[in-house]
Amino acid sequence: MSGRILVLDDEENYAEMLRDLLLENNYRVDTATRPEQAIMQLEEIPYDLVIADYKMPVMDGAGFLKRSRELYPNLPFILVSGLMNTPELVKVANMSVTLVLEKPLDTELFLESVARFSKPSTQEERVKALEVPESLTDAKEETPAMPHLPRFFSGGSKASTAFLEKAWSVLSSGSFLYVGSPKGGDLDLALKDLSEWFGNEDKPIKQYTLPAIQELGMAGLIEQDFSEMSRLALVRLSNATQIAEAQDFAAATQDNDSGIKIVFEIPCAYLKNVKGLERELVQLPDFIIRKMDTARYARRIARVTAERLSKTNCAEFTSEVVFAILEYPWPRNYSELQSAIQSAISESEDTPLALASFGKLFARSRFETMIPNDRLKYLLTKAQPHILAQMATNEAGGLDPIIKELNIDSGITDLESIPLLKPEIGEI
Amino acid sequence: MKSTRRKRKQRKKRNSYGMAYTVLILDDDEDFNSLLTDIFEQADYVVASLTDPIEAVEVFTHTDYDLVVTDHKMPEMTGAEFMRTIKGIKPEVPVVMVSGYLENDMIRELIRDGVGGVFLKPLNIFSLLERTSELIEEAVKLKAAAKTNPDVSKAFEMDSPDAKLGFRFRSFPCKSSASSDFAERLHSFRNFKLALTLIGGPGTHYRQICEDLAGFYEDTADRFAYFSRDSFDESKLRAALETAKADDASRLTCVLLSVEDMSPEQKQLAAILPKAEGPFSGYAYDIRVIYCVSGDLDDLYDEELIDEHLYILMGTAEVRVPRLKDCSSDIVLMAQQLVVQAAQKVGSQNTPRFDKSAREFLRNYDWPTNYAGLTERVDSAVAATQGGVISIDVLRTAEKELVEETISSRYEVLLKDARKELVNSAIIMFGDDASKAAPFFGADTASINSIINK
Repeated sequence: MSGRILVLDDEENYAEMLRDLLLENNYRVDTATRPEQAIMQLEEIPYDLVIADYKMPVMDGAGFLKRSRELYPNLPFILVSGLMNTPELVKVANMSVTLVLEKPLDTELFLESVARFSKPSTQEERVKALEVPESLTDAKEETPAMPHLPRFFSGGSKASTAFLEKAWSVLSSGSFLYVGSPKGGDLDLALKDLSEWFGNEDKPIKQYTLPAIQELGMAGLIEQDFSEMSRLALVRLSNATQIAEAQDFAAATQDNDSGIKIVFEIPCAYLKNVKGLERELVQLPDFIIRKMDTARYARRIARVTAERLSKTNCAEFTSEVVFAILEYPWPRNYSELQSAIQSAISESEDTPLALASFGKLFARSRFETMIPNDRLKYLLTKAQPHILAQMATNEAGGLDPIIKELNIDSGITDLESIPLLKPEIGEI
Repeated sequence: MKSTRRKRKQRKKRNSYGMAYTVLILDDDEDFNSLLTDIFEQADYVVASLTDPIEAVEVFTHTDYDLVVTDHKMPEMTGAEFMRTIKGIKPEVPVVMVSGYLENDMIRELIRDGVGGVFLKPLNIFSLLERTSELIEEAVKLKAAAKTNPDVSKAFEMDSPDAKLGFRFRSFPCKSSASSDFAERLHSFRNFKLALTLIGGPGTHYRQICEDLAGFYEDTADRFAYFSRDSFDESKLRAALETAKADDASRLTCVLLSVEDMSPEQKQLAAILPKAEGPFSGYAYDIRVIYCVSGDLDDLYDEELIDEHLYILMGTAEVRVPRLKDCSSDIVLMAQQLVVQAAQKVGSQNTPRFDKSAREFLRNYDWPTNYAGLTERVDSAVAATQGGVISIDVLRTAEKELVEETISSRYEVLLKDARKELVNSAIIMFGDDASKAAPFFGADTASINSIINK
């Protein structure tokens, strides 16, 4: 598998020039023009090489190198710069920079150096990345692999990876996708990745109401200027009757080769009203079954917020906060996590985040009452109802055969009150 | 020329073995050399200070240092040349350059050649010491990571496992630390005298492993004979002994598979075989036995699956075969090898390949029956695809056909997934530091790592 390169240069033209040069040589490249943006990308994606300019406003190459080193002490890092003086060179040498190249760039030497750290993709991989299933029926059996790992959306949990894979697969073979979206979910982030994968770079995604898009019509939509706007659009459905209307709209414009993709967001409450959608409907999973995503987002939000408020120590979590984040069900998903961490950091001193900064949110946390050895068992017990519910959806007879087979006391009506069925798995 | 001098103090910076870190200092200027030496000794390093680069290369080659500090301007060899030379010998040892003046081009060159730090005079002692301890810390971490994390260790690996191990090994590709440790341990036991015990999980490929062991000997008069529960009796054994005799063998190694499942008579036979007693006395060559079992000897003894005689005999030399799931970096390669064989078996024109999802599955699956399970899975997947691409779905279908999945086992798998995800989540929130997540769960780092690597 070929690796990925991140190019950071505050001059957009130069960044693009480097990207084109690397693309021509079959590397996979992302660009950034601001160091903060590049740091976020670094946190999200495993790169195998970073190429950065030295002279940039706000954070210079050395500052960016320092931050990158904190994240990845051994990531190959090439500085490309105009003249650097001796103190500057000594400074970056002492920060383990991998290579310093001078502008104007000797392309041959540059590509030679890049080849030391990153592998270009093979013909086979490039073809594969472009592959889309030939027809709808085939697509069911053969899901095209996602072109890269998502950058914005966290696909760390099984449920979220499955969601994004399915969304990608549906949109690869058609123009319309229906997403059952829970309150405060991270659909926007998923759409950013999808939009980029469909060649829209980071152009903003426009949101419409259903009446607005009906009025515009597919023809009107196509005629718009897409130089500053993604060809992927989001339509938020605001009541149950709109679901059928959206389907009518889609049916009327089934064929289009304009590259326009429309995602209809259906609030979960209305999902029961959905009829006649199977393949095109995907369900964005709740945070309660996405602990890994919750953890990743929590870190990302904390890091960005701590940076913004100049309380860098707040990017770290105390044990009690780690526990509380894992324990809490996050019924309002991403938005709730985001506002909780942001407000906690603004309340907090410049110290690792503690429970006290979260106000009443984690008031019911069992952290205090539990010894470390019991934590995993407790957290697994909280996860158990969701495991059983998930099994029930795949079992022909629903929950009953599961309850019988697992020797669960049949008098129990509430899945949450079942003790951990295999407590030994909760022991480390 | 000043000779190597070492001074030890009471309190030193300790590495993980409790030893002080060692620094090699090279500077032809005696005064500056003693200044640097004093600085590092004050900071509790063990210092070897040299003035001659040629001698320094020699000393560096034969001694392990944690860090090297060198001057640039020296008569026989510049510091940059010296660094290039020693980077060619042990690239992992960090080198710091201390010099009066350096051209910008020279600094760029030093960076390219992997310098760990550059310090110009007048020297800032504090930042020099800060940087050196940073570099040592990083090098130690990298070394530790290379041991536990196969991805990092790849950076140090040469392409062929044979080149790395120094001997031929085929039963594992040895891309994982568990399997290369195993290969090395097995190799170190190659000259065992009487008995060797291989302990592996169900479905372990003992035969291939013993073939690797057989390949360690250059003496062509070495013979191996394999016996299972169905083929192990006195007459078959005698036949093997006679064949070896006819071949002018100098040594016969009998491999006994699943010893714990054998009958009491077979076990008795197994116990006297290496001692060349009873019916086996009087052969002019050495007889050795490799016992293959699926569990700890203590457990087998407690369960009365082996008696005291066997227990003592088998306990003389034990080697544990890693479980497949502990060699995640090996699995895809092993599977690819099996695909080639399976495709040949069914006479398929095209050799199927695994797509990304399938490779992921192979790496992450639990493989309760190890190599046998992998073989079965690959065989049925190859039969199902007829030369196309093997995806995760094909592998999963193959799984369904193989094991009737029970509700209870499915629950267990999901619960273990949930456990892995919870532990991973905690590690992420502790800044990707498993050593901080371990006390959070009241566990040690090794058990935490074993959960997330399952």
